Amino acid sequence: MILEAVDISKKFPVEKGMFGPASARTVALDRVNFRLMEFTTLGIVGESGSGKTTLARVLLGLIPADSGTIRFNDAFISDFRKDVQIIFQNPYNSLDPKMRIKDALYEPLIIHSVCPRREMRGKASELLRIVGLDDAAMERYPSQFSGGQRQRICIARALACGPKLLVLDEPISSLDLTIQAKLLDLFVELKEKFRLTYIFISHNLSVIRHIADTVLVMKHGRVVEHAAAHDLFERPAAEYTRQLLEAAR
Amino acid sequence: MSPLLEVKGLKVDFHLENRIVHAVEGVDLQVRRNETVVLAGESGSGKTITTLALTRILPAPARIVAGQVLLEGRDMLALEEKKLYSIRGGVIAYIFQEPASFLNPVLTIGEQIVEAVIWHQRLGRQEAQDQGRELLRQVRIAEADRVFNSFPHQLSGGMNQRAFIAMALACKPSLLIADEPTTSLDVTIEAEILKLLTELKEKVGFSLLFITHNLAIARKISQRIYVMYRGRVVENGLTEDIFKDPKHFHTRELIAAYHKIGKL
Repeated sequence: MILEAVDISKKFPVEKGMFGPASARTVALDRVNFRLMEFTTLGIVGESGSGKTTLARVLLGLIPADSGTIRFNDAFISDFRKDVQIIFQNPYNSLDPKMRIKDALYEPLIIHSVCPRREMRGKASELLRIVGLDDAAMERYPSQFSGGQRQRICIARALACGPKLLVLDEPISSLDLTIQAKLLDLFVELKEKFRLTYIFISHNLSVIRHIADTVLVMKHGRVVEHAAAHDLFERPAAEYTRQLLEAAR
Repeated sequence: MSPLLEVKGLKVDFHLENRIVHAVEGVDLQVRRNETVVLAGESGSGKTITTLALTRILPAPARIVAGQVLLEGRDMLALEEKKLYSIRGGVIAYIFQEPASFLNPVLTIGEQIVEAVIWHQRLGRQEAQDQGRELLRQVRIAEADRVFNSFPHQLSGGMNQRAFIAMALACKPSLLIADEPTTSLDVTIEAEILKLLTELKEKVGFSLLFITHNLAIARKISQRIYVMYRGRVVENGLTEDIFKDPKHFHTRELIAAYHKIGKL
């Protein structure tokens, strides 16, 4: 087991008026429990507002949980900042528009002291090759790439420090279906190659079916079903899962 | 009977600072009355530009350089600008991917619908308000009165898209152009919106030209498909024939993606 989440809860204040105190709190996560095994992919599905992204942010420590614990297994996650990386939905917002690609790739290499300076160029070039881009990308800026290419650059950046766990928050949702299919193949390939563990968030059930080993179905901050992917798609237990599957057919 | 819309040899160029980009390179297409046609293809293939050219609402650097757009026999490209006012929205209406960015954030949904109704149907304010509420009911908004008085930011993406559809229908168009209207929505909401559009098309009686990169949607709603690639229509035909025997490699690519992740 690489990580265990126990009874994670999170509420957000609901703003009432511009200056008045928050009068109500909305439940974003309600006692979420799950275990994640190493080298597997956990798919998280649910509608907008079901708590998927809040869960990802809590797991990454980007926002604190109100209660509950997250335990990372030290055997896999010893240096949290290095070992756990995230890829967001919108590659347009995730890259600094004024930074050349090589500098965007050097940044994590420097911060995490991955390699000496003289080896950085070679390392950056290798990262680009891994995600299917070539050296010509190095000197360019993010605006010179398509959405799919930009997401590949984000993946290269995430891989720079040799992570163990990748949190993928709707990583292909904003792209064309043909590009989505290609990136999905890349994720599968990278997982094998680098022995990665994925938390893959998506509202697209067929994408989840394609990539996930186990699936967490969320609704209003709660886990309504957690099952092996095959079982979930063949024999959904929760009524809500059945509704989701029906809508996607 | 002649088709509702016939596009012949449409060409659109983008005049950029130091070069000219051919965005649409000779597109032919037809939409018949009460038909649902899908325009499929990857980003940048010219789908949106083609449909914006129909009523000449292209962004500044784009210029129509050749072709004809015959709407019920009249060439839209030859009409003077003024004559287009009643056609935009009145005969050809659009809905887009991000309804919230096309709705006015400082006006309520009701005010915006009423504005459209008054402009296109020349009704009085009270009648227009009644019709606005009726339109919201028509797009299956349960709490029509609440939504009527809400601002776009108070509503969900799906609800805004319904309101946007209501507004598009306010002008009783003959052709509704839907440009990826469900792409940013959840699967459950997407299914509802697609069902709604299909129902309304039958009930109200308009033709639907639907832009998507997702052939799962094409399979669900359309009778015919045009596949665009790099500014050209590379393949077109009946939806079932395209799925059975795709000819162009890009069509095959789209279908492969559909089989992989477009359906369950």
